[in-house]
Amino acid sequence: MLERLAVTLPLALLAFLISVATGLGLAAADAAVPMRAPAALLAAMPAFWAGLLLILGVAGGLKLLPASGFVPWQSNPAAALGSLLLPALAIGIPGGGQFARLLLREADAGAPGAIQRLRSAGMTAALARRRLAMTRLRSTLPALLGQVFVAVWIGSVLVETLFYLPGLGRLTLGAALQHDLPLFAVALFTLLALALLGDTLLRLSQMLLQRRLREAA
Amino acid sequence: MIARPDLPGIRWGLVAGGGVGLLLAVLALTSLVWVPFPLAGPPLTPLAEPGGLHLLGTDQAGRDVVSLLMTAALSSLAVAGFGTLIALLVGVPAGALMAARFGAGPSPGRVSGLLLAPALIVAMLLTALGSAGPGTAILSVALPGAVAAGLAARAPVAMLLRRDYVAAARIAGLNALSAMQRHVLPALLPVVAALGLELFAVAILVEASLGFLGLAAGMSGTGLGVMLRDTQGFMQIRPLLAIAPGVTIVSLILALQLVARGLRRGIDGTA
Repeated sequence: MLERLAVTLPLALLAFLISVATGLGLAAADAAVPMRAPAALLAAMPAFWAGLLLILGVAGGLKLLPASGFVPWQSNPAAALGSLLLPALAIGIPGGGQFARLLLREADAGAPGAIQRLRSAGMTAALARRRLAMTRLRSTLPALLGQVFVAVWIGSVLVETLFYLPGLGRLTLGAALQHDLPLFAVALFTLLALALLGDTLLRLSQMLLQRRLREAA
Repeated sequence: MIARPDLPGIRWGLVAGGGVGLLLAVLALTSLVWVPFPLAGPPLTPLAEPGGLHLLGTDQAGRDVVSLLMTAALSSLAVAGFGTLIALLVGVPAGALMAARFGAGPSPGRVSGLLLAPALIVAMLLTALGSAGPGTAILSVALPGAVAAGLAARAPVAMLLRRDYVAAARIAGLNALSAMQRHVLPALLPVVAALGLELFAVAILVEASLGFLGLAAGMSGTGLGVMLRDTQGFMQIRPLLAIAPGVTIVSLILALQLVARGLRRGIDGTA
């Protein structure tokens, strides 16, 4: 199980970072120039299809990164990271689209009248929207990050199958397809426990944030 | 919340989404009575070049890709549609009950692609315990979908229940169920329609992912995700084999989301 986690954990963390960066970037771009299409397009891509396109383009066309398989960490850490990069991008790019949509939805869901109140105080519409969105996100961002982490973590099942990575997701899927119930129970429990752990840790960062805010006040 | 009210006029997003969605649905339904090259017939030349007689070429088993795409789209749409219907039929009444008993709840839930994670778990669980078939895919869409639909329906129902005319009807002697049926349901229908379309879009994503993982062979043994899995080994020779089903999935999802967004704008002015 440990050597499986040595594949899936770095993969999920990398994909999570890519998702968060993509999502924040798209949301920031939307704040500058309102556009919803890029986030919606990325969010509509199934992770495995994004992976197929990446294999076609980056691995097949440009021959930059390996298209499948995994080099163990002990033999060559750089190559191991390289073999995780495309799978992480395959989960991370659609995940970033999903995260951006969540962020934009938060930005849209203000209390009715709040924008008018700020505008009547002399603020421009864009600035008022941004100010309100930031206030809301301060309390909801940790929960959103938790949701994105769970999605990315479970999404590893899809790309590990596509890229033939010997990770926890493919182990769980294989056990399910072969009706190997004892192995499936252990693998699924590990998968769910770690998803819950990641989600909880990210949600707990809320407390950190709130203490900061209380001290600042 | 919008800073600038919408100007009246044609909603191009709604028109484009509805047009593309209808076109794809009609093409998929046509596969029931007619496809360019019947899949059951003798196999054609495998991996033929796109263009000419075969608009998108043929696949590794010698099937015309256009015909296969039409059949697969119908299968995917049927599984996703059934799952969505079950989710709505279970989830919306449950959400309405929650709203009537406990009020609006912490935050208005909305359906998003993040629903894929619980759907995958349910599908793997069902596959491990039973076998992979259309039923597995439908249930994997319906179970998490029902929860999401319930959470998403709760806030609008609670809002409608607080309206003065509902209170007046209750004072006049109408019981809770009748008041809900007569005064809440008509106003709720557009919301449920938008919710259903959003859920349908996610269901297509889920169905394709399950098909790709081999957890769900569709009604006719094919599906958009199944197609992608089968052609995976041949896409370096014929990239179109991997691109065409994916483009179909993405355009179906985007079309449904555009229509849902247009509906929501029409309902309450928010996107």
